[in-house]
Amino acid sequence: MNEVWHQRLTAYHKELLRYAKYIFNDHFIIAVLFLLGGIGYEYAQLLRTPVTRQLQWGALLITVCCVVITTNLGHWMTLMKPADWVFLRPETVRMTWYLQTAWRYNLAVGWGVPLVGGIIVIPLLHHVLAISQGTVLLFVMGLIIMRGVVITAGYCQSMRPDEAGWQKQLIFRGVLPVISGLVMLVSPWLALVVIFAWLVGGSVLAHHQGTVQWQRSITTEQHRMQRLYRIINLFVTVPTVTVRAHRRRWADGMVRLLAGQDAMQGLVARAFVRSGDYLGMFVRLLLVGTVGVLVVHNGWLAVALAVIIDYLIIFQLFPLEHHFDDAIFVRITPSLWTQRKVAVRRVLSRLSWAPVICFTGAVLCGTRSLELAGLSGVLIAVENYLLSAVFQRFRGRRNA
Amino acid sequence: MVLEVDNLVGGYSRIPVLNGISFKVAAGELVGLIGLNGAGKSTTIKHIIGLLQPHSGTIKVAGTTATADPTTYHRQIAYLPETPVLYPELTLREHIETTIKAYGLDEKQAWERAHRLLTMFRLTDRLDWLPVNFSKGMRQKVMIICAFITDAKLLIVDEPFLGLDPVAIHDFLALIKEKQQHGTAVLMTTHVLPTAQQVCDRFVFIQKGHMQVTGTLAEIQTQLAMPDASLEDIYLHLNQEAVHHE
Repeated sequence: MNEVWHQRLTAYHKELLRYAKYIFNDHFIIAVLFLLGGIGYEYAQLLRTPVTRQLQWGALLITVCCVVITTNLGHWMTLMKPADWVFLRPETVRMTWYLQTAWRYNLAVGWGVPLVGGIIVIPLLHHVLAISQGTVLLFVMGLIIMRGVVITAGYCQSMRPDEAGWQKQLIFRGVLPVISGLVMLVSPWLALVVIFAWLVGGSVLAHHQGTVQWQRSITTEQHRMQRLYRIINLFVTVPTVTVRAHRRRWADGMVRLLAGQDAMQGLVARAFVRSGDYLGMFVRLLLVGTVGVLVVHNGWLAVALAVIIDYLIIFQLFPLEHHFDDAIFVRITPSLWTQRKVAVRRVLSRLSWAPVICFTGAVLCGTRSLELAGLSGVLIAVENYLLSAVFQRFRGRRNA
Repeated sequence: MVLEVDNLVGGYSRIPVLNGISFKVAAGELVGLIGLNGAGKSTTIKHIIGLLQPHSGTIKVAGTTATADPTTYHRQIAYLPETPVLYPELTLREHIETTIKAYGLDEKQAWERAHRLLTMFRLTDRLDWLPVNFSKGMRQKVMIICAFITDAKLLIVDEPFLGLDPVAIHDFLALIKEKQQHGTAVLMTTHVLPTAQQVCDRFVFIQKGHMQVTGTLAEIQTQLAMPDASLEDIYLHLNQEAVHHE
């Protein structure tokens, strides 16, 4: 079983490396770097400002967010496959060793994210909240162990018959990290002892009282891989991505707004709203971008960020053009197939008003400058026209 | 008895879907598990193969339970699912090798059985191909090969005829007969009732997670006072009653 784990891990890494070259060549990464640069610059400026009560509350909030994000980023990974419960079922006992190996691997690689998150908030903790260096170091250690607790909770789910409902998930992934994080700032040794006890307790439960939960483990792993593939699919076509459609009645108004009178445009609008992750990605990037632009007080930087993030948002929607490539009905209906590029352009044109409005508003609120807000509005509108009317026309699609 | 299911209560969540299912399958016997869609056939099978844990009741295969001796328990069972489930990245040869390792089979003997089956199903020249690219029927044949090279005492087949051509169905039934003659117990679910009537020794009818009737065709005909009724007649009769009771 160790051999099976190592073979699968090697294949998994090879696959990620193959997709990584497409992701890191994409303009998306350049835009993300600019966004991170902007936020980093503002963070540095923040640390130079005098400490106020408001700033301290803000620092505490950021610390809590950091705790929740770093302990939950990334999911319990088993690399189990749907065929395992047919072919490997006779190896149920040895499968528990496989999952133990997976648990050790997850713990070994899982410390990176909380470490980075902890390092990022160290200046906030030390400078703004006046936490001592020793406590700060224990806080970072606590984050790493807390991540181990969340990983072990995933391991328990693979080994124990009782399933953790959303309430237990919320407690383990939300409430406990928040409380632990706050206690760590006040009484770090106590918090560390308690978190470590959870880690030990969880591993004992899984090791000594567990039996492989095949269906749950396989389903969890499939969901994890599909989430990963869907993110990668934003940059390059991943053949194994199964696109799920959601009805989303609440967004029917948006469909009507985007669909117009044209049949193909209606299809594209519905694909955007109901299929895959287009709508979710659009809203997330819009929200993150708006908040990012809002917190940057440097006017020109805010405008530049707005332009770059807008590019990111619209660019991610270009795959809509190929959404119906495998739809037989669309292909054999000339009025639909030949109109798809135009339909996508029209939908993008309508959608692009959202970033214009949001980012213009964010620049106005962040910089309090009408001129800069107006400039950013114009720049974004022109950019959207160029992207949807010109660039999209000539863009091909990359396939892995 | 090879398979003993005793008062099985279970399901997918805390609410039980199966309520007191009890039946046995003896060595060399072919028992048909019959019922409407959603009756609980697949759920029963999932409990037997260990995919679901019973809320109460016991399941024994060759005298052992999954909790007492999981390795022995699972190695006694060969399972043929309704939908072929294969590894996308493994060749046909590698699927067979995985089965041999998982069941602890003697490699030479297992490959002899495999080659015979590969010839029967005309897959000998596809050993180094990826089965995930095969047609549905061919993928089903791969599953049959992997199940039949084992020396498991219990063979569970879930809707085996879907996707197989008539020649393959004929060959498959011959294989089942051969397994039975070697003492393997077979539990089969199917909606193809004429075939089930021909090949099964006994039947277990399930409806909404409850046992309806069980026994040979003659015994069921007597129980229901339906002499000369075919299996299909009995099936329709039992399920019409269930519908009327709703």
